[in-house]
Amino acid sequence: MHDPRCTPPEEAALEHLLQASLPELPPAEIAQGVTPWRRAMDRILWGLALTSITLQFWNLQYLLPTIGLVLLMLGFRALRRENGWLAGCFVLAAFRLACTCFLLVINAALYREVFYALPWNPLSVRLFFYAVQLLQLFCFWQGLRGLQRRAGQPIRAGGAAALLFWYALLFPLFLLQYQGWFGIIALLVLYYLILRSIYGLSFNMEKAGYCVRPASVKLSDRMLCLLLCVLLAAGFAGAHLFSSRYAMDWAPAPSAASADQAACARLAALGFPQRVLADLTPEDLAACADAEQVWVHTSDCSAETNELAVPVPPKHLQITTVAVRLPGAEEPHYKIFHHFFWAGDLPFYGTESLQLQAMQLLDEDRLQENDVAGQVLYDSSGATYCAPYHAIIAVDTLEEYDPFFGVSEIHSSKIRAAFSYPARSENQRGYLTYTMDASQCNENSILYDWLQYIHQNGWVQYPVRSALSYQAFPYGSDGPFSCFEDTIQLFTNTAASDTAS
Amino acid sequence: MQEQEIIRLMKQRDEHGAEAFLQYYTPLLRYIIAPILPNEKDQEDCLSEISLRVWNNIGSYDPSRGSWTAWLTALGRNAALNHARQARHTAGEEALSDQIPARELTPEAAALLKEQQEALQRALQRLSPGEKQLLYRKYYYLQSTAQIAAELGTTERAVEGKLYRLKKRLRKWMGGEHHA
Repeated sequence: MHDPRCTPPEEAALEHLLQASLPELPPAEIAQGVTPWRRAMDRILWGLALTSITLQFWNLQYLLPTIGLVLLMLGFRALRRENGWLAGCFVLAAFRLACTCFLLVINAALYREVFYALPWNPLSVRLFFYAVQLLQLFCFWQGLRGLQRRAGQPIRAGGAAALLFWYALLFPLFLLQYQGWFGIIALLVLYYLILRSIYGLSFNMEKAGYCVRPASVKLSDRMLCLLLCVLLAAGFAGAHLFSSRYAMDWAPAPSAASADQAACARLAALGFPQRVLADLTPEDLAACADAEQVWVHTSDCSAETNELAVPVPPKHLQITTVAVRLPGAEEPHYKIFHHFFWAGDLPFYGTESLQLQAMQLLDEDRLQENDVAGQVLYDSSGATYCAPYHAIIAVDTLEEYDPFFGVSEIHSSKIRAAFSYPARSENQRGYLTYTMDASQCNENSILYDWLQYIHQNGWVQYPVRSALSYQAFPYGSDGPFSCFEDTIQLFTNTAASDTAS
Repeated sequence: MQEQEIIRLMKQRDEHGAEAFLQYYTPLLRYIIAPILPNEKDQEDCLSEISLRVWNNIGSYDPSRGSWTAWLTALGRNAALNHARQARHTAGEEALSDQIPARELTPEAAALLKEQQEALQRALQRLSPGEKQLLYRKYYYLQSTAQIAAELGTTERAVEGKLYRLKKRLRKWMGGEHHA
């Protein structure tokens, strides 16, 4: 016989059963949770907390404020129809979120350095966004007062006013950039007061919130968040695909037959490496036509450890420094070539940079961009392609030394060159060259320079930095960058001319 | 004024407590009764009735049985339902559904109903807090799908879908409770 207890109730009967059988007194958490405002208010409070405090590690300074702005926008979206002040809060939250998402995508692109170098005052931009945040807090304070007025409640929005006040105090501290303990303690106290004000806001809303009528939505909160994630992911992907390498002006390299064969033969006879010779431009080759002497130094650095490696591993970066002594009207001068060659192909195709530091003991004759020349080359399908560097910039630095040694200051010029290789290229190589004038030096002087090759060995980094902007550490790697170094010391004494590294 | 202070004053029959109660809790009560009584005049009548009931029955409030908010919402809901039933009675007899059990039950039907209610209680315990809240909103507080969707930040279609799946699960749990 069929047992009726095994038959589930019909739809309508179940609904009637639900209406009649739910406990007379709802559980406390249900009674507390069934409100028109709690969900929106919780999001606003969490959003305020996450956007107020910045943690400078693990990229939390980007993640937490973004989550906070999303929460603020979702919270104010529900309350936007209550009064004009809360509608203003929603508009400002959406504006701040749009700007933040834009900057997040910009930070994933290589040309963020160009964006941040645009001619606007960084302090003005920060001041503008700070003012927007203060305006939003002011609108929130007034919106809360409007809600309480409509509910017939006593106006008690002190939590929001306190939040506005504490936040206004933050900016002078930021402007002063005070580094001492007082500044840190003041900041921590302010943050505690801000969080306490945020907590107190929920009590301000406790009674007045029941008159809130949240606005209906066509796109649920979950779908909106998903859409935002998809847009950000698309932005990051686009930034990586279209802005992860420098734009280079590649062209087929001139054939070897067109080179000055006489100059090549003369230099080869003096010991100039054939591999480097083959990569010189006709102008650089012609400048060395009257070479008197050639010194060569080669170092092979492992592509994995960045260090000099013996025996030389299959994948390594070979740096060859060639110094060519050329006759001068009064004193000889030297043309220095720094050549690099990737044996075993480039480990990663991103950004590369060279930093050349020529140490000179005089105030004059600092290297400028137009004193340095060179090109980069690669092979593909049997053909050779060459291009000038994407950028060559000169950076001047002043270093002071102990007067005991008779040297009060040394000016050094750093030349930085940026470049990239296309994917699926082979035999990546290139060189930088400049002329070192030793006419003011005595016969026992040492001229030396220092080359750093900075190679990007991974794409996982945020915000994106190029090899050019990276501050290198010697013989080491830091996250997505590796640094290879080589130095030469050139004795100007003709009796003891040699290169030492 | 704090909740405990209002309760204390009302128990002492202090009119300040009553005034504070009306000032602070009218929005909550109006929120509870609005889905059941859409007419504003009915809401005002009901609110007066609820205020009187709270004043008269404040002694029966026992914190150990439930929270103050739960007690108020239960009282408000029941008062609004009674008000709505009285309005339907004065308008005419309500039509009887063949799926809703008749008021007069046979002993067997009464026993079955009791078992079904117990099965439903057990099934409700298996729900998550969010799912329970959704059911309470719909079947206890009698809120419309549009109101639920707006307050939960989602669309009406999503709410209907969630309710449909919830009821399907409840029916499945209730149907399998006595499976041999």
